Amino acid sequence: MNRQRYMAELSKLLAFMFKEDKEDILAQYNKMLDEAEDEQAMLESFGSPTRLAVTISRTYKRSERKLSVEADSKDDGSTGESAMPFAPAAAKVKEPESAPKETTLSYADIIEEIRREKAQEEGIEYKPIFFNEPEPEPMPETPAVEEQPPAEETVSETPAETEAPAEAETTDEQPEETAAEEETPEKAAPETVEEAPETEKQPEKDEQIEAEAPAEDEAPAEAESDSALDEPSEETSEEEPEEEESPEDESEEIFAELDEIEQPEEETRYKTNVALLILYLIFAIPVGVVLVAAAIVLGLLLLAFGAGLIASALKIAGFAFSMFNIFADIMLCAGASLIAFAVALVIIWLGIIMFAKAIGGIVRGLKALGRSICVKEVSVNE
Amino acid sequence: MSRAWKIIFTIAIIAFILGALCILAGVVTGGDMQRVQDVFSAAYNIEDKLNAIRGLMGISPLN
Repeated sequence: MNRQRYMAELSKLLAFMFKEDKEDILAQYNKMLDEAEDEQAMLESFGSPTRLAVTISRTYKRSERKLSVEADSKDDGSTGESAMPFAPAAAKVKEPESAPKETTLSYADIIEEIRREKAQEEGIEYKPIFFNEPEPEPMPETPAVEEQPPAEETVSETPAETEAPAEAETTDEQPEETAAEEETPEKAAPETVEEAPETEKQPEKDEQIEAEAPAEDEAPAEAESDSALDEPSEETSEEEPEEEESPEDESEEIFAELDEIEQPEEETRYKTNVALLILYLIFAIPVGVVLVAAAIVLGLLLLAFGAGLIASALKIAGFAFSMFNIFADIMLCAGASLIAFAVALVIIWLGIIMFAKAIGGIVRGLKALGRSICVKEVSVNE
Repeated sequence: MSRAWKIIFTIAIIAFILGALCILAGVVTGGDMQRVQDVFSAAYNIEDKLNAIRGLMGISPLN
């Protein structure tokens, strides 16, 4: 499957998302493909478009996104607040049990990471797309930090926070380390999870990234508010282990969810103008009858002429061989007979075509004309 | 239908070509169209029939 077809198919599968989010994700994937050395290999690593869409759908919640959008529209300054309750909570949650469900990177994580970096470069506030599923992010730093007693962790928050962004970037490319780190208990230091945002590459760590992203952006100021948000994140983290099921079961659930999320399709209805239809029938029926009668008469004439011509050809042939003694005259008559036979054959076939096609074509043409005039297609969007 | 049309058209073309060849052969070997016409009209009495038709149509007869 080539890139264009892959992205087109993915775009169709992501119809359940908001247009902005969908475009954002597609842009990110296109960027990833542009930066990749081997496009085909990258596409293969993505997996099938369906699987990718399912992965994205698991982490995307349309209702929450809607809340976020509404909040953005109301409050200009609180663009991230609507997402904040989810993001920091998700970020702070550390799942010790979030065992490495998959050692492979989550594409949602990759996207979020890219967007986060871009936001940091541009100096704008990062707003994650994926709000749901807070998952702890095992940073390479965090294990060392988390292992320390909680008191120490709180003390070392600020320096850890500053270190986290730098170190997180270095560890972003170490999925194995992140998987190992996730296994270590991290519950004791939810705040440190914020500091280690970007190390999670596992596909089921999307929630962590969602939390980590806003957490990183507001790290200096969020330390105090994070504690309040830790609880929901912890709850969500607790839920995450529950969500961890066998890949097959998850995929089945995901597909079921995806089916539910599908947007309603537009329905088209046909509306008939009865008055116009009656008027059309009043004129179309006589015209149709006349045309059909003309076609029948023409067909009969052609058949009759063809039959007469064949009879003449046969008579000439008989006359030529019975009445003439000169070879030249016989050849002349035979030649004329054959030519008459050829012409008669074509004329007879035309007569047959006239009966078989013309009459049916006239009727179908009148029906199509009536349908185009009297019936209109009305699209009904739910 | 298209296949039948192709077959019929092929037969017609062959017959036309054969007829043309026969006429060409007759002309080359000394055939005379006037002689053929005279024999044909004498055999089927075509002149009388043509005059009768002309009389019905109000046209003067040939002779």
